[in-house]
Amino acid sequence: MKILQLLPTLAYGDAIGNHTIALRTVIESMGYETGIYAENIGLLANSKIAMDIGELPDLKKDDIILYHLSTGSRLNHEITKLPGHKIIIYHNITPPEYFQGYDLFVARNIRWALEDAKYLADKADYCLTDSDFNKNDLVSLGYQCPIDVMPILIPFSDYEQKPSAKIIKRYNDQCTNIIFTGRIAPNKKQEDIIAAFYYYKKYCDSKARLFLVGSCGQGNLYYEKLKQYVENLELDNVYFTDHIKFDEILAYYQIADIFLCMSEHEGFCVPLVESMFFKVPIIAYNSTAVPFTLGGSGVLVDDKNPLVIAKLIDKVVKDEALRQSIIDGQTSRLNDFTYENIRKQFVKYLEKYIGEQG
Amino acid sequence: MEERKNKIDVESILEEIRKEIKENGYTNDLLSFDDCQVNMEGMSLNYFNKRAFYEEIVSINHSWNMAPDHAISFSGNIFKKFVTLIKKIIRRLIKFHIDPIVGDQNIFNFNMVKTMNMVNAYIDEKEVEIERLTLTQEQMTTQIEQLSKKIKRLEENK
Repeated sequence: MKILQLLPTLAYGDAIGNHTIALRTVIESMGYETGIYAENIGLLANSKIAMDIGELPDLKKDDIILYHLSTGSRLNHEITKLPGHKIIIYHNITPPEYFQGYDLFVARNIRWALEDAKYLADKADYCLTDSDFNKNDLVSLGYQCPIDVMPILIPFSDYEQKPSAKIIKRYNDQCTNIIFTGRIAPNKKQEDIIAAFYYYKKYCDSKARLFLVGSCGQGNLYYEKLKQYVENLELDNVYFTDHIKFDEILAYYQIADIFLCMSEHEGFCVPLVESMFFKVPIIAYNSTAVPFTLGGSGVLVDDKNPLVIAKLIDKVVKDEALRQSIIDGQTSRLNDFTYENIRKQFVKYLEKYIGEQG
Repeated sequence: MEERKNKIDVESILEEIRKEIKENGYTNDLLSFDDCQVNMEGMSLNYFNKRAFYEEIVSINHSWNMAPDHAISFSGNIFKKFVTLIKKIIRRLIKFHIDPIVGDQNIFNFNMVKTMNMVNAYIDEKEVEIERLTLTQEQMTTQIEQLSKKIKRLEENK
């Protein structure tokens, strides 16, 4: 029996790509023949991690396809024509409304993805989702097959690499460093982070820095608007890092005093787990999958008033006992996401599914 | 995976903060993000960004082949079902006209994407070549510097 993973795009360094590669290792360790097949293979093209979808071997009725669903693609329809069991790993689809007025191509692709997700509702044999929120999403799209929740598989050993000494040397000082990690996208609401930072600088710490770590994308209208917003507010010390090397990302977590997430749509939000790992206190807006991932840890807020958020940052930075209590809670939650725990869950779900097929 | 109860009383902290804001009379003078006008000059593509170019290449490879139609879901109340039926009939009626247009467009898209992939491959090749030439140039510069020093020493010893 073969267990193959299929997805439209395997991009280097993104959460879905890393998850797919990590699952491959687990499937291999279970003794099954496996492989990753994608329509587009990112910067890993020269490695042997994934193959072009055209090289997909002949499948039999008892083979299993693990299909990663998150974007619109022809593959969403083509997989239904393939023999074998279809297990959908659903990573969520951002509502197109967020991209309206910023990127019509992305908005169109998302609409397409939502239609495809509905189309697949009665064709999936089983689903795995990254969070409870994603599970509810599938149910609302009409999925009636069994659905289990399995968080993203994160090999924490990757985070033990040496962080960029250059970044640490430059920014590891007495100033407060606030970070958010994630590509510059309208659903992530970086403008709300900037607004809170404006008041934080005005009323709490004029020397503070804000790092928005993540790919900006060329010709990204939302990014241009954010830059303009920073300029209009006459804010200094706001850094858009754009796409950076992994050791630099690690360095930003090392120098961070607060991880501030004002995102309004997340299917899981890996950076929250990364912040837990690096013992950075999290302040996050209560939306979509964020409460699931935090699981009672961090500081989850329903209020987006930037003045309130600014004073909350100040409180967490200055109140050592509160800060330690937040970090303790986060460290405890981190145990739920250990590689071994998630690996065990995945093996359990997969073996259960295979067992039920007789 | 069970959700733990947060030991931190976030609501009481926020209440305290709201009270403090009120007492201190902090002003809310923030400019609105919605009113922010984008400076379009910043978007001019007068520089080359390899990563952004590559992202676009991935994107067009992903989407060049357009389907002549999209799935029309058959759900909702009787009125919605009737509208869906009408849509399906219209789609069937104009199929003979739409399919060849989409087919031609896909051929054009295919050729464009193929061309862009070739440009991408060409850039990659040239990057490797430039890297090799830069290395050679650096080595030659070092050699020239060493030879210059040698000549200078020899001239001094004359």
